[in-house]
Amino acid sequence: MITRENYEIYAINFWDGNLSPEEQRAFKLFLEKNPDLKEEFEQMSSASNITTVNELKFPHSEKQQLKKVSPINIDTEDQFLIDELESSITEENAKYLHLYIEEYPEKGKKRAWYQKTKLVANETIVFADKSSLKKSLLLVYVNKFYPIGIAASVLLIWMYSFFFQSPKKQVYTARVEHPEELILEKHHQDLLSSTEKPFVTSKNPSYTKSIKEKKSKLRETKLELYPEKMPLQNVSMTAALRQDIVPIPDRVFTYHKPEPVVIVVEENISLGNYLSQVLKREKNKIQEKAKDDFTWNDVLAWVGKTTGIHISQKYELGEPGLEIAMGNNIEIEKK
Amino acid sequence: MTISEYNTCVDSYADGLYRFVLKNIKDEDLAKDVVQDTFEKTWEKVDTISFEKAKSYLFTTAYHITLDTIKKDKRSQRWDDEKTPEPYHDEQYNDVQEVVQKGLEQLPEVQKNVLLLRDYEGYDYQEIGEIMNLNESQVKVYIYRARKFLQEYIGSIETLI
Repeated sequence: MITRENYEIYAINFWDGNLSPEEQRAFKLFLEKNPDLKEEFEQMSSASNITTVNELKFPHSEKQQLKKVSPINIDTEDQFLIDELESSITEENAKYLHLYIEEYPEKGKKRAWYQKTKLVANETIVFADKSSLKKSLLLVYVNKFYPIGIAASVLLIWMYSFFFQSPKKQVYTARVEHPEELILEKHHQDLLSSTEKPFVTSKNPSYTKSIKEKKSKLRETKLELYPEKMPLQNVSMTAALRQDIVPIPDRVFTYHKPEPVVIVVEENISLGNYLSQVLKREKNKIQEKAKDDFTWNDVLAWVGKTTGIHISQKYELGEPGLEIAMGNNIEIEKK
Repeated sequence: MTISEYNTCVDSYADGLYRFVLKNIKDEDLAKDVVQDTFEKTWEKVDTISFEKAKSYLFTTAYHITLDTIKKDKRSQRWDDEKTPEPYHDEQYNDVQEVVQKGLEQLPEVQKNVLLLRDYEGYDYQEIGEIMNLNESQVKVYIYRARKFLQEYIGSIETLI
């Protein structure tokens, strides 16, 4: 029986759909007989809208999208564990890995084993002799110029052996300055005077004749002038050494060496030939060194450097090797 | 790179190089020779190598000299074998690093070297690739295989213990 006291229970059951059709008809009849309660019921029905709320549902597809699926499984767990060890795992994957290990605690052991694969260097093993690996500025220069030093030493030894190879060889000491003059040391002045001034400048018409006339005596003089190991300060390259050669003014060398140079001359070899051989052999080196700026002066400078005899060019010359190879001006004969 | 910087490299990297080479060549004298050769080769190009790139150059050079030395000496029979072996063990171990080192010796050389460069020197995949002439993916794969092997090796021993 619906009364004014219990009608609210019927109203709630009505909203909840719990009234049978008979009870619904009785409830509606009751409301018709009680207009004030009907008005109140209608107001509550429109305000609460309870039935609508209960029917609201989140779309299924969107619900599925919100769900999470772990990328970690038994096939991929190693990669995730290694990525974690390598610090190359993303923040998201790290979260998945954490949840995975929470879900499967036995995987924690595997994770620990992976952590142990990190190698640790044994720092007690060291390279003991580091100083042998280091470089010093001095060593750098020594190493840099070592080949040059070796080459220079070989050349010096060779030159030494060339000039001093046998005590039986005739040794001359000579410094040649002026080809057209013969200036002897004071203690040889008597010899010089005895030759009646045998050497004059090439402009002197009597020059050639004078030499020829004095040829045999000059040869003797020369031998006396150049006794073994006897220093001779000044000598004419041309006249004093080969009487049959007429000096050619435009092919004059001027040799100058502040300190006397000791030259051991082999039989029948001239200084000119020697220089020529050196030049021919070393031409490439000289050219390489001088490159595009290669000049005759370079040749002379190099010869001077390697032989110890400074040669300055006085006149324009042709092919260096040929000019020197002629050796006419500087030949020294064996006694 | 100046002489001073070169000498700094000797102080900083000679030990690491030596350990790296010694892991591949089980001969201290040979390993020292490799380190010396490495520095000599670096010195030859000292004027073209920047100080910043020196470490990478040193390890690259050491790696290649090591390869040549091993090939000449035929000390490694597995150098070209990239297949990861099955873990085996027949010894007693005092600590986990000893276990790891034993496991390391069973790795193919290429896997061992990527791991050494990774863990000993902290190189990233790209740098290791440059040193060992591998691409980044190859480095990653070798590290994966090496770690998986070592993990199984450690696991098998701990299970036994």
